[in-house]
Amino acid sequence: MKSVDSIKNRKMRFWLKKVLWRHIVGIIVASFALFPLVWMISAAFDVTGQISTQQLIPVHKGLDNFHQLFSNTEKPFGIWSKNSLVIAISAAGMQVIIGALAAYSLSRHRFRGRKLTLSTILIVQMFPQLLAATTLFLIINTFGKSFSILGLGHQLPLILIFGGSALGINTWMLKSFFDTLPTEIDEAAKIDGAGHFEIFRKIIVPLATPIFVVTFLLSFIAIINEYLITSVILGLDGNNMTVAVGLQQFIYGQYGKNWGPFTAGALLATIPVMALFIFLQKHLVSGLVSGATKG
Amino acid sequence: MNIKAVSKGSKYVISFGVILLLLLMGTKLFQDKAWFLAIFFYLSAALIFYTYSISKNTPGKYLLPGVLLLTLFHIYPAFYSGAVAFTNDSNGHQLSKEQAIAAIVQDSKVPIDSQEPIKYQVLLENDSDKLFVIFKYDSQDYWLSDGNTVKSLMIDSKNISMDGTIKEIDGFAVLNTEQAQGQVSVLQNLVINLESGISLQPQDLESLEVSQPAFVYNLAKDELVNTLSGEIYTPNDNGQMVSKSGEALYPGWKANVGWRNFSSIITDKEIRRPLLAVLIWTFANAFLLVLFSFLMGLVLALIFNFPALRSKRFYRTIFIIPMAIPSVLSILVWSGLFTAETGVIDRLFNISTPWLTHPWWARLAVLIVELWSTFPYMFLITTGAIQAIPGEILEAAEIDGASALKSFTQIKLPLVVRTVAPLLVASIAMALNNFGAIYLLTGGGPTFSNSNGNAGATDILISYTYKLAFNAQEGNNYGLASALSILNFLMVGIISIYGLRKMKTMEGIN
Amino acid sequence: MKLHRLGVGLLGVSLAFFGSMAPAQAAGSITVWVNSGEEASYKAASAAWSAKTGVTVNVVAKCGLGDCGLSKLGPAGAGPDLFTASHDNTGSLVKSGVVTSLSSVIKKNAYPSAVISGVSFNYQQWGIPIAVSNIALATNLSLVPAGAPKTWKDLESTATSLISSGKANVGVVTHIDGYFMQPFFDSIGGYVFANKNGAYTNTKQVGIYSKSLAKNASLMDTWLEKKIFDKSNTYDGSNFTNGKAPYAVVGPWSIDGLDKAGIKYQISSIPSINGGTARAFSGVTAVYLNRFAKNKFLAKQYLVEVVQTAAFSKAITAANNSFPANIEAASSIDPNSVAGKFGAYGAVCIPMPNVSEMNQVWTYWNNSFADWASGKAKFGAAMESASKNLNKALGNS
Repeated sequence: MKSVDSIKNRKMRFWLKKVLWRHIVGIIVASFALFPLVWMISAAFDVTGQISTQQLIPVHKGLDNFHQLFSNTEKPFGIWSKNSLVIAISAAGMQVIIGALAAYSLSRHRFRGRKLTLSTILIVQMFPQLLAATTLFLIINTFGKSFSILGLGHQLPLILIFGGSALGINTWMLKSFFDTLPTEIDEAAKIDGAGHFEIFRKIIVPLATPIFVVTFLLSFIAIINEYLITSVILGLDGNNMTVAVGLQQFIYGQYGKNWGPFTAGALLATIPVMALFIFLQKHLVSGLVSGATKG
Repeated sequence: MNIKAVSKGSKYVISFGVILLLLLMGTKLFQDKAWFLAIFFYLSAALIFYTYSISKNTPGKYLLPGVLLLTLFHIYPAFYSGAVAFTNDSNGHQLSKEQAIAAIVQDSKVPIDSQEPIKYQVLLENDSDKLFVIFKYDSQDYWLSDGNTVKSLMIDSKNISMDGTIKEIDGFAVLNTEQAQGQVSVLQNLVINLESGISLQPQDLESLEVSQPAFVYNLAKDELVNTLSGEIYTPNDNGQMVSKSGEALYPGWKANVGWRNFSSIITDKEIRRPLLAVLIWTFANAFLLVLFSFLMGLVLALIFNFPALRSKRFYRTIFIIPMAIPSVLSILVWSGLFTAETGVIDRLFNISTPWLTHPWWARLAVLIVELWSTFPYMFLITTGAIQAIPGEILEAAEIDGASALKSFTQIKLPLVVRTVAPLLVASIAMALNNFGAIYLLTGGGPTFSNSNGNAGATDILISYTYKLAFNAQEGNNYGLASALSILNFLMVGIISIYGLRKMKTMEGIN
Repeated sequence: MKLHRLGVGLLGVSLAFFGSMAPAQAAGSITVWVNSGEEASYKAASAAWSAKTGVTVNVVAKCGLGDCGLSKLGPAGAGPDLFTASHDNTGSLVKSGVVTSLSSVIKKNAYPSAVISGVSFNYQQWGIPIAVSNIALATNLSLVPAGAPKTWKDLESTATSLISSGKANVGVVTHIDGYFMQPFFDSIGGYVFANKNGAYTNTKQVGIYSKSLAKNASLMDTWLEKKIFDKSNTYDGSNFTNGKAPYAVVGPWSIDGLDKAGIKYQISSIPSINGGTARAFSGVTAVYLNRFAKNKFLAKQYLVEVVQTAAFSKAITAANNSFPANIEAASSIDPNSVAGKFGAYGAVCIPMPNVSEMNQVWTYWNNSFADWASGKAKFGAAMESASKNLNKALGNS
């Protein structure tokens, strides 16, 4: 009995000395990480929609903000969400496919100027796109005169613009991963008579699913976040906006700062993304870390 | 074998489809006079045909789709907006020279009140399909003009109806109002200058406005003459017509100014002063952020990389949540939380800190928000780097009797830093370009007083550039903004190249 | 095999593109850019004309990027035919050469002379006015049952006693910047540029540090000290909507927010320290014609037959709580309504300068207000430096 006790005691002491403070740090950092989220939730259920009176547990609880979000025909949140999803899924999908093709070639084929190609596509995209907004407007406006669905106010041109963006960073991430896949498998397939595209499709793609998921997710979030080029190309007509552009309309101007519906919308937009993040956490972490630690 | 044949067949169908599509689009764009885009589509079609049907170069087949999109939507706009850096493009200098001079003449027109608008009709010359207008002015004669020439014309009275409109003329087709509507684009830009100095211009589909312009442009001498004062205006090198006494006419035009935008960054005190402050904060912000964020990530990684802590996965899930909230939304929520006095943060801690309106507090607020959004990434990569340290090394150190501190400072830390260094450099490059965090949180403010323009305490180069170009109070100085964005690109580019060189993934390539 | 289908699909897409090729724009269509959120009212007010003439009116919300690159898009042929703008941009628009004179279109006697001055530049008119908007004083009737202050003394003493009794945090909720402080600035004798009935022709005479202002400047410091003005200077009107401030400077755009907050309020003019009325800036929303418009004839016809009518001015202003610019439409507004109260005060306000020099004014003037609010400088010193810097920037000696 005594020995068990002492083991228990020792365990307890160990816990107090080595574990307890880790929990304390953990709780502090967790509160920092969750801080805006908690207030976002609280404000979303606070019907007064004011920052100045807002309490952690709202005094006037209710779903008014959510009702407002879906009943406002000038600010149709439902349509914004659909727009955001359509644009982000298609463009992120495009980014992954185009990036994967480029990365496969850069990882598996030996050719002159390989390093230069990769650095070039990485560096080129660091040119600030802000000023290019008016140029893009002019290009898309010209498109629109010839093909209406490629014109301003349509989603297709925006998907194409985003589909080609982030090529550098995605290619780099995907290539890092492809490099970790042993080339022996390709060699074996080659001997069996497989062409380069078959090797890509039948061997690389299945093995690289986790990194595709990560790349897709990061691209998806980046596109959901974009509002500048989006607002220039789609315009600010109520039905054309995305969540990122549209929700900002709630908090413009004095007395017009309507935090209630804004936070309600932000919460609705955050939940699915966050769920995906947590659900795919393992892939995400390994994807990000592999870039950092592999040689 | 069979599969291969099918895939080969479909390959041709795909490339044929794409090429056909691009050619069709190119042709349509060509018809619509969108030359650049038409050429781009034709070239793309040709390149696709070459790459997938003729060339034996495999990498090209994989790189082409990305490169084409990159060219159209990134490289071309970048060059286009970069080229503006060598012009004086800003408010009052956005037109072409012809547009500007036409605007000056047009705006100087004084309607002659005593003169009623003149009725006119639209004609198309049968042979050339060229547009003419015919009208009666100052006499019984009719006048015929295409804008460049004016000549009088006798019309047989049997061809003129009771109300004075012309029914038909030899060699011309007389258009009715609906047909004339189709010629609006020509008509609305038609100007008829009579020898008397009077100018006639269609004001709708039926009548010509009679006016007297104060300015007359002499194309041969490239000068504008004020017919009232006799003053002569000639172009200067800044895209404006100026008189001898230095009076400048508006609008001016977009003129090439060479490297002036770049040199003004150094020589013009009004530009240099705010810019210097912005540059200092741009770098300070990026370095401080990456430093704090890395330290926080590292400390957390060390603390939570502890096998006996059973809930460490739970903590990791919580810690990465900032990455999972779309940042455009979370930053705006932060801006609400940071509201002075009435905001949650001030009330929670019972303080009245002017977070977003005082320069130093605003800078701190920016750092806090950026730290919040970047520490999860640092936590993940440093955790990965620590876990990747081979256990034998640490064991060996332990056997050698190294203290925990020593094993950390002399073994763990250098290894971790070496592994993540390229990522830290990349993070610095990202932070230099972090427009959203600044613009949505503080808008770059609070602005510096006594500086010409709206540069603010938290402005980084990219947000300042944005304001220069799109803010009327800054004069929409697109030229300078473009020069600064090139500067920004060079800065970020050089840092990135430095980072890339350190990357192990790049070292494998030769 | 899947790839095969993809190929066939692509062929389909090619054909679809043929279908989607935009038909040549029908001869009768014009495009109007309006502020985001106002599309519905412009569309509704243009529908009858559109049906009658067969001309399509495309009402498009402007993007949020400055002037949405209008000055770049217009010359490149990508701009709209018509666009709305606030009249203080007139000078810049004219100097940029992106708008066309509407002198031959506008019916001057349909508008008050100050409104005409607002859209005039270089002796020509450039915009067709629709609405007039200005800030005004809102009084919280629960805190101040007596209602709007008749004199400045009234306002000052009510505010001071409410603050000292802890019922209020501040006196007047406002932004500390040039536009929102203009009435108080005017009250103590400051002005931006000398003007005659709203026509600003002399930008050499800057009154930001006028003699009278220099004399009275310390009053502003006292008021800030006594919390008559809120020095936290946030763009949030919550002190007023929560009943913690008796007064607020509000605009027509604030009304929805005030109503939603459910407080009882009254709109009135702002009293001056000299017993008269302190004059705010009035702003005119007008429709401008793009110099590079595709269809100027139809655009002008639309301006004459639609935009210039009293009914249009009334319909647009009813949708956003502002006051009609058109005299006939204005006369039909109930003087006791909120819009009527704004309009009554607006009639004595001064038009915001429309000269392009205002861009520099805003920069220095606003910066000096911010310096003052943050305690960096006394009011007099702040305005003196704004005046000095501005004169330098404008090349006035």
